[in-house]
Amino acid sequence: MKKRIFLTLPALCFAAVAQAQDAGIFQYVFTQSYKNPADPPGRMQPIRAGVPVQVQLPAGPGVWVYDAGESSNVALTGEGSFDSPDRIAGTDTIQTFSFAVADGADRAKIVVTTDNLPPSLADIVPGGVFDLSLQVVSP
Amino acid sequence: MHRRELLGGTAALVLAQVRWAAAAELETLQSGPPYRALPEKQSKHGKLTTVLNMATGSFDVGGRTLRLPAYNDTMPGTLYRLRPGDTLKWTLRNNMTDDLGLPLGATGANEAQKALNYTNVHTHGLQVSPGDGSDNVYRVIKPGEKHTYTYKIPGPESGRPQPAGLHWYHPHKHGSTSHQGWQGLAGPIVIEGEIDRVRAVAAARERVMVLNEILINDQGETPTAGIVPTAGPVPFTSVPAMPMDILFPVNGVLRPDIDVRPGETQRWRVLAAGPHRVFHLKIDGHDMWQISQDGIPFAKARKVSSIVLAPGNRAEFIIRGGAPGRYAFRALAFSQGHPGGARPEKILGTLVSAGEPMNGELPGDLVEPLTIPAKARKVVNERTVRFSGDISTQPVQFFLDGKPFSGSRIDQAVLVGTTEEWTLINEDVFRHPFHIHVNPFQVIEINGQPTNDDSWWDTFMLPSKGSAKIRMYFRPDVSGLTVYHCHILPHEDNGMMANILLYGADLPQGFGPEGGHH
Ligand SMILES: [Cu+2]
Repeated sequence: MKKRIFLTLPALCFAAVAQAQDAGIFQYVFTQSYKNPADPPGRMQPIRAGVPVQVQLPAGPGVWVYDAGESSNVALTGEGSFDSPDRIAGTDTIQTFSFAVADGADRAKIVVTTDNLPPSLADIVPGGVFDLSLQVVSP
Repeated sequence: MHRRELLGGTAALVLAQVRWAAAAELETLQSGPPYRALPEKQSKHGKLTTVLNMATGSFDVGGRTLRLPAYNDTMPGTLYRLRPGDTLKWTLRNNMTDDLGLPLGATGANEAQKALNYTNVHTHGLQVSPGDGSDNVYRVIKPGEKHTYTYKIPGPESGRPQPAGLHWYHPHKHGSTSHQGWQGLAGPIVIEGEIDRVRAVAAARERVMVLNEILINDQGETPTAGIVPTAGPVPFTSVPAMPMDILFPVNGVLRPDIDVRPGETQRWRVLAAGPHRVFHLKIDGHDMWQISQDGIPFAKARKVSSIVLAPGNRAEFIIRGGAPGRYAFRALAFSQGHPGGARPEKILGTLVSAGEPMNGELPGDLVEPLTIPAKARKVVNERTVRFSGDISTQPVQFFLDGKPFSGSRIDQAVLVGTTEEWTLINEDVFRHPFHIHVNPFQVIEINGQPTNDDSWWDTFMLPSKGSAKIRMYFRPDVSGLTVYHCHILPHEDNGMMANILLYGADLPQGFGPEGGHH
């Protein structure tokens, strides 16, 4: 089970976001429940430019991995996790991925995958691929 | 929430700043905005007749302008004071519009979004008829519509007067209850009685406090969208997602200064009106002498250092101002089963002790406690209710006895005038607070162990993956169809509610134990 925040250069930026969060600054948060099997593929979610985005997914023992190759116009600014036992069958953790959307982009895509998806999530995140299509709107 | 980080090099400094910011939230402010008493109205000659006008207003909370619906333009709502035997009559006018909290890019509200503005009102804690024209929670009042409710509050002539204490009103339309809870729609009802004449209680300065839990998006409006749980500082997001925050104002004011004189006694009547957060209340440096739970007075005051209020609970307690200084009024971190660990500690306000010292009297013996009438103490029936849920989906799903709520089913039929014991089995990690309309109950066992506690509750938070056994006396003079449910309102809206028929001599053919309706 992963318990860490990767502290690379963008981590400085993430820490700033985390600090702002504690003070009640806003970010978009997407969880597995954003996905609905009835949604058309590539459903686009509008977001305001300049607002951070976070993805939270049930994990442990499965591990979610950011797929930079399939994602576009976003920079991973941090990862983290929360203990969350007995909430969603087959998982005991919530893994978080924080992103900044590239300045000036009007579209962005985030893809996070796992090769160890618990059966309880099979219908919600088919194939262990969580993909998010964002349409960026000027504030 | 417990986030463990592995630090490296220069980043430690940045993380230290994060911790500093988090810690700063938990320190008392040097000064806060003043405490606000709610506007109030009192019954006269046994009657209180008024209007509840539900319409959008602008409210300044913690320096942000929020656009929220409110009753009569005050958030939370007006305090209504009545006595047992009084008649409360109000006309609820739904003047909501469909323009609040819409997702980015929406051109207007769809039918599901419009339905979040359907409403009604419930008088939580009042032992009144659940029938139409009274506390009927099945009634639906759409924008542009109105409905008049008349509640006959049981008086001494009933042999079982309404207990005197803090009760409340809030919307209860299935499907929009939590949305309107996130908007702060709630107000206090105080029933006055014998407890108010106990010397130490009467002498204490009264403060009626409504603790709200306001969920807002970046526009200062409650999201008109599906709400799903998250980990982290804000416990929910929406689908479609909106950036959001959650605020805990006291009587509509964020982190107010609450003044007290050293040695002065105050009677705090506190209502947990939030749809979700469990408030584990503590005042630094001050004990609490609790005199009532859920609006039902104790026989004797109980000295405690903290009090847990689940959504829907009320507690009344006496405090005595300490030495001059500033003391935090906290909601301690609490593990209520929400994903991602304990909900974080919050400072709700600051008790500011200053001025001429006083020597306030602390309470001891109070009133004759509420009991079950001797002739009805035999337990005539036992039932079991099971609580379960699934939070992986949107919407989340919650069940009583494996079923989501249906308005066209009677889940329990109970003969009024009798006593029953119900075992509430929580199969979930989430600490669901069980609430039942009309009749309060005593909790006689928790996880199979006797409580030896004679408190009465109308809302009781179940242990995680455990059980509670309750004893209920169904007053003989109130019959009709009503509900029991989880008072985490998003759980209620997403299925965790069921119907109970309270029947007496007026039982329709085919109902009741002989008709097999159990
Ligand atoms: Cu619940």
